[in-house]
Amino acid sequence: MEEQTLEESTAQQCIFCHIIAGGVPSRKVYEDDKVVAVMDINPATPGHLLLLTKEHYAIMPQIPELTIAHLGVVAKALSQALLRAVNAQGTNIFVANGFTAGQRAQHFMLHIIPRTENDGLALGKLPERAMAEDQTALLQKAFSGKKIETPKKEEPAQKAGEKPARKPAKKPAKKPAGKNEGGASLDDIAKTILGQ
Amino acid sequence: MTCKACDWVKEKKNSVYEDEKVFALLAPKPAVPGHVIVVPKQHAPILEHVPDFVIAPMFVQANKLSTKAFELLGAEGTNLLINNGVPAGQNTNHAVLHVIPRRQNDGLNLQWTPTKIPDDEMSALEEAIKNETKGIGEFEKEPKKPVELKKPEKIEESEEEDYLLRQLERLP
Repeated sequence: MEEQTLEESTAQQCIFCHIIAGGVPSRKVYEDDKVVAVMDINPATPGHLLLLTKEHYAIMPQIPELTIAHLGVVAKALSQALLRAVNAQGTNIFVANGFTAGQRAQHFMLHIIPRTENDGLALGKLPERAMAEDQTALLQKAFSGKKIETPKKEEPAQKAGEKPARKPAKKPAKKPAGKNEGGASLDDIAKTILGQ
Repeated sequence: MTCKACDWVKEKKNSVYEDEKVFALLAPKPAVPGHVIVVPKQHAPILEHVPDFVIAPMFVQANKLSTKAFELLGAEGTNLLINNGVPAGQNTNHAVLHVIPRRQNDGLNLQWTPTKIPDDEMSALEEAIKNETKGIGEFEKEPKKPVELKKPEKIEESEEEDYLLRQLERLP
């Protein structure tokens, strides 16, 4: 029995890979050799676009730099196009990495959402909280930390990071079948990031 | 009118990353701890005014910071957000990109209720959007700095004759 590679089985299960391949109907509004933009069929506001990478990636840290750069410039161009096409007064560009951040599909996507005044969306209204001095210093130190070395052996809990205790892996929330990213532990995320 | 974000860049306030095009800092009034703002150094009031060759490093750095949030801050998720325009929540007159580390029950709501739009309206929107996207093609490249050509060095003739020539001359 031929074993499927992980890529093959992921591509088989991923509805967005099917959409990109043309197996599932969609409203494509832009395409080039790296990315595709389709209209969201359950939009936040009319004209809501999803910018997808043709290659299957689950979260942004897995995507190579050149593709990230390309996603950025295409997102800007699509935002411009959207402003004109639907007479929007603004756009939100939004990425959710991980279930906790609101990711609901296993294929990486970047949302471009047209906005008008009083459209009822909470997106973009970020609360503003005060920050303590010592917290600032701690965070700056954390961000300046070096990337963690890939452990040679499979060591689930041991990490050479300098940040103190992490929260344990999150509780498995209700997920649709086939989705793998929402429940991935930080180790898995880190391994996929460092595996590049 | 001074620009808040340009001031942040000038003062190098709470910085977590800097290169010649972008500057990233911890948000002065964060939504959650670890909220980072990536600012293009060149002033641009809205996203559309940021040149493509600056957008690219903004996204690349935002992604790296997002990765760091996963690895070094123990975030369970990250959001990247650009609020372009006042109805989208833009509250500085300088286009910026937010990187927001997420945890369960962190009190942040960035969700929306999906809506359903009738087919004919969707088709009309599709046509309108395709009409605008067909112009997308070339992306701005950074203008190349003029190359300074070095003047060719004067080739000094060696006083020593070429060894091989000397041998030739010896031949009868």
